[in-house]
Amino acid sequence: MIDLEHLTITNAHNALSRGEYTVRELVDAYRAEIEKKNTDLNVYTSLFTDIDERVAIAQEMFTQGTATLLTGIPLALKSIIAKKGQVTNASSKILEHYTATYSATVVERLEQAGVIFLGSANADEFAMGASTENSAFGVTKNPVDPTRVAGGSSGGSIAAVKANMALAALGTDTGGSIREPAAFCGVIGLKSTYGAVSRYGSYPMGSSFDQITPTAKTIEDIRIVEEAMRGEDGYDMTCLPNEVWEKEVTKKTYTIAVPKRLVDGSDEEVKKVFYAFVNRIQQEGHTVTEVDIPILDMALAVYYILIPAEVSSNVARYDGLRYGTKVPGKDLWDTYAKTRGQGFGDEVKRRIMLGTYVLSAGYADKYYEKALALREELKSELKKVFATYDFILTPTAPSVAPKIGSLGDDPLKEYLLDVFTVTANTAGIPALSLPAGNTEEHLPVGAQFMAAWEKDNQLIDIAKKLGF
Amino acid sequence: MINVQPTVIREADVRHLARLAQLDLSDAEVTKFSTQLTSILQYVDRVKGVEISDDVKRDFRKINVFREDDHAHEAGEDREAILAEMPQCEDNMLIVQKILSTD
Repeated sequence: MIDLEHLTITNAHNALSRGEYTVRELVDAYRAEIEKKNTDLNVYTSLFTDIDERVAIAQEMFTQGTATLLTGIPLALKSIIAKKGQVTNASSKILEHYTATYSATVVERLEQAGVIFLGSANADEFAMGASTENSAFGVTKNPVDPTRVAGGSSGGSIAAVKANMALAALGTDTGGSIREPAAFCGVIGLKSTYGAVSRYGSYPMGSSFDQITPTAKTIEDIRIVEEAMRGEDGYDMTCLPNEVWEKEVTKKTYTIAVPKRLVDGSDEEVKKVFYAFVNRIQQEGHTVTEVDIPILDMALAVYYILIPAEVSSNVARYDGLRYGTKVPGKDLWDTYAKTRGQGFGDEVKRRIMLGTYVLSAGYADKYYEKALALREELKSELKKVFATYDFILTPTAPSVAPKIGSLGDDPLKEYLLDVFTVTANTAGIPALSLPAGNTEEHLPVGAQFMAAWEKDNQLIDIAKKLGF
Repeated sequence: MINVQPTVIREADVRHLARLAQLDLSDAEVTKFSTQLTSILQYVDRVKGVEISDDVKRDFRKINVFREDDHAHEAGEDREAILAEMPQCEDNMLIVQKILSTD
């Protein structure tokens, strides 16, 4: 019996290399967990049809001596990341039966290394949400407490890792979509510097915010997946040059800023775990200082102006003509309106209309242009903070995972869950959510480190120093 | 702090936005979204009150990166797969409804 609960990529690799078990046995162990748990937790919306083929390829790599660390390792793939020949529907009715005609660059890179993607992980529709309740195919339950949400938008990816239904997973993070569910479920989520990982093949939501992101139980597993994905790509001009990652510097101890006034807006039970984590960090010899960064108060408002603007533009392509679901109307305009009206869920429609509003004549100056200027202010204020401190530390989310259905009809409640996470995407800086501890009711709480641009390796380093 | 009127999105505004964005909404949806969009906009309205210096510059790393205008891929590569995903196509052509009236 393979101990999936404590398995790491390196352990699995060593076992496969030694012949302790085969790739097939490893994959079958995960498939057995999926069989047991998927109906209840709703982690995968579909399993991929080429698993057996991939198993054979991976096993052959071991036979030939060409196996890498990732060969034969089973991963979950968020439903908005394309895998050629497989249904990749963004958890939306408008793409319900769409079979991707190409693979994302990260999928190609990882499959070349021998990774086995098990299936399409459930998510909030088109990555819009913080609960996975906005999926067109049902919510994903939190494996720690199935009466609660797994979080979102990468709920399925995170739950797959927590529930041993994959060894690691790919999600995306546009405003917190890998970090927040990681915090809610007690695993690790990393959002790299904007441009570290190619976005080609991830259906765009907020193009200047999106990153494809790894989730796993250990920081070494995160590092392995992240390094295998990142790097220049001819299909994504926003990628950073490879040289950026060559000059990585680590420190013996780090300086950490905590924006206390903002942090103290969190729930009591979150603060308790967070400040205990701060103590732990100080005991390891790092310096923690209370600061105030007033511009952070504006980050969520800036985010919810710019994101709907970019979203409204990015989802204009779903018109029922070239791909996806079509609802025929009496003329072309009617076909568009019916297809999109019936194919999109509420959150997508809200963001489309918000985006249309903030971009429209008479309002663009007051909202969109203003938000763009504030985005630059945010970056320049953060530059000043990072001139003095290595990291900014906050809880990942202001509360523990909400009960399913409790977010109700007020979309703002869900948006406010992102209050700590949107800053990193808005500024383009890297951020890491670590499982900091549990509340008295055994619910996971995450702590989030943010670092300066291109200092991703220091995030990995502090996590390693803290024993993750 | 600049004094700002709270934004209100009425049902007529929702219908207008839905028309611009090609979204068919039911009457119940129009009512619901009117309340919800008002709530969201009243939250983001806080940006209006912030004074920004006029010379906040945007830092563009790259602008409009193009590849060479040469042989990008084999002609017809993936064509079948792409056509197979079109809801309505015939003889390798995408079918659309007419956009010009004959009246």
